[in-house]
Amino acid sequence: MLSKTYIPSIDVDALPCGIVSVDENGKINFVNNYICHLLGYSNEELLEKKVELLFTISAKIFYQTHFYPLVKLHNKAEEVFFSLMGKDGSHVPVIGYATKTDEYICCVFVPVRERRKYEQEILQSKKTAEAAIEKNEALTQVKNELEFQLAESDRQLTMLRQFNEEYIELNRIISHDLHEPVRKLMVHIDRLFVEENITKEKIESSLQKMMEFCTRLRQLTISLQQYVSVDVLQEAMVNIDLQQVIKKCFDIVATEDGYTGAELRIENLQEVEGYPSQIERLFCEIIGNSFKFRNEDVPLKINIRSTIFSDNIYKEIKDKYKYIDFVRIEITDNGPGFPAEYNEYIFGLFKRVRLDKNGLGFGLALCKRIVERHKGSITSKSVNGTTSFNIVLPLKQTTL
Amino acid sequence: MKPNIFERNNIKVIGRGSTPMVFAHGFGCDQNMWRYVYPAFQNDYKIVLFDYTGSGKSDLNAYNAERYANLNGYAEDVLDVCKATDSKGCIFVGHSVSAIIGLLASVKEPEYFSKLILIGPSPRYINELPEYTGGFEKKDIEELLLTMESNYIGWANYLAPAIMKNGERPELAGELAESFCSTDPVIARKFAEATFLSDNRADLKNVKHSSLIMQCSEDIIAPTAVGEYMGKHLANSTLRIMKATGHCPHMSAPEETIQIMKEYLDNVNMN
Repeated sequence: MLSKTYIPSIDVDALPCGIVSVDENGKINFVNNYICHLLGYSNEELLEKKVELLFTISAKIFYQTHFYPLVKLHNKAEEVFFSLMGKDGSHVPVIGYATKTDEYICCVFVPVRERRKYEQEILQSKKTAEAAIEKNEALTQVKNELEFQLAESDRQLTMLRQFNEEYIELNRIISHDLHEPVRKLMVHIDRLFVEENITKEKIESSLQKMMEFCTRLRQLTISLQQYVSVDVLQEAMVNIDLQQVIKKCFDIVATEDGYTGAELRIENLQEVEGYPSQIERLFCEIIGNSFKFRNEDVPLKINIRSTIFSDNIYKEIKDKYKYIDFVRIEITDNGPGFPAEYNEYIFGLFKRVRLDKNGLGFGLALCKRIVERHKGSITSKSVNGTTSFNIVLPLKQTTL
Repeated sequence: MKPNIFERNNIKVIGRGSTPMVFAHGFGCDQNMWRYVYPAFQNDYKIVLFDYTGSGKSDLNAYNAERYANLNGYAEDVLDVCKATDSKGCIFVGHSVSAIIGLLASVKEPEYFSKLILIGPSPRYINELPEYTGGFEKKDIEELLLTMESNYIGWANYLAPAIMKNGERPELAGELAESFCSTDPVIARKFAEATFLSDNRADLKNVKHSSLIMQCSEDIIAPTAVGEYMGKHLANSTLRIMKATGHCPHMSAPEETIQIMKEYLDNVNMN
């Protein structure tokens, strides 16, 4: 026959560990003597207080971000390291355990002062070892950087090839486009010299034509010079007030065009680093485009706004990340737009969508070149009578 | 090869609605934290749950220390998830640091968002007195990093100095997921740094979408003053002070959380 086992009734206050119970609102509803003694509080000083009172600041964050979610989701937590804070501000390293019922979370804290010292030693040696590895990592990094340089060169080679192709194209078209007005000029000059008894009307008509050809020649040479100078122009990089530049460009375009019904709305424009004459040219072209292709039935409205966001500067190489600030400038107008399939095409050199309009098919190619030289990008979108250009530029060229 | 975002971010898509509602967990946890809240919305929305790369059951091998040293790296995760689940114009629900991550993503690619629900957001945790009170000093954050470190030495043979990839030790991943939601000490530390050392105050003015700021009472991580700061600097925002205390109302007071979210959504939809 078994003798009756003696079961002592255990007094929680006599247990060699701190016991804290916390209700759903995070308030302490029970503490035992051990924890009061450990932290230097009386029982009354802790009851009904937020459990955070027991923690150091970092432990408070840890409790909210790790401990509480863990207990809430798994109904328990084991072996969690914490720093408790005594009434006098002293830190007490503890290991915590917790179980959760519907009404409360019961936590047990055991001080680990001695054990903590070992752990810190171990952590320290781990850090020393890691430092050595990091040195090695620096080497790996150098290797990676080198690889990047190679890839960068590769990218530049591609760009060079594109430029070469463009120059060949440019050369071919210019030798025709430049040549043609010159030839016609000569025809008229010849007529003026050779034709006898030439009437006043004929002289005037010839002069008129000659003027037109000269104007076209002038336009071509100026455009050409600007197109080429994107790559050769020696100009200082400065901070550009976009608001100012865009207003100026709008005025230039409006004066040139003679159309006075246009409305420009700009919001939130920032400063951006760049080559001032190029940025000005860029916006003259974009705004000029809105004027040139405006809808004749309604007054032209141009909206320009910008947003700053961060993006990775690495576009070509995988797994390289460096986030810097970019500005996205959205230019929207109420023009008739163009079919969506031309989104890319319009940025090609001498590519024209509207053959009924005068133009060289030059402006947007120039824009693309300017934007790319600023390590940015330009895209267009035309939906339901709204045409928009998105220009993305790094806020600071020097951080690249 | 393009990464499989569904696997990388452990994406779950549930619900019977068509409007996407994307839930983004905070630092120290994973998508499980939403389990008391999302069921209330699954009849009306398409619910998208995910774990950030490096958290929960995401693919740890896809973790890139450079990318995720910056909250913008996490914002790219949000955008990747939106794209992978075809969630344009989503209602974004972000807890804690994810609120800020969501804001960054919304500025970068606005068309993926329609409304932002921000639970316990803070644009800056560290004080810059007298202008700004974030609630913490730099040394508090350093201590937090130490606390986290100490909590990871318990498990695994982490004494080996090499940063081990869990790919080589798959048994670790499973085992650890049961303890903390952030399984890798190096990743958790980086996430903590990106979270607590960032300063995103300047980004607030770039946010265009309608937003709801859910501010708990007595939240030591995002104090009420911070919620008010958010409300003041976020155009188009509604600030709601909750009865719930602490930093995790979606776990401690899901009913109130759900109710405030619904009120906001009804309100915005009416106007």
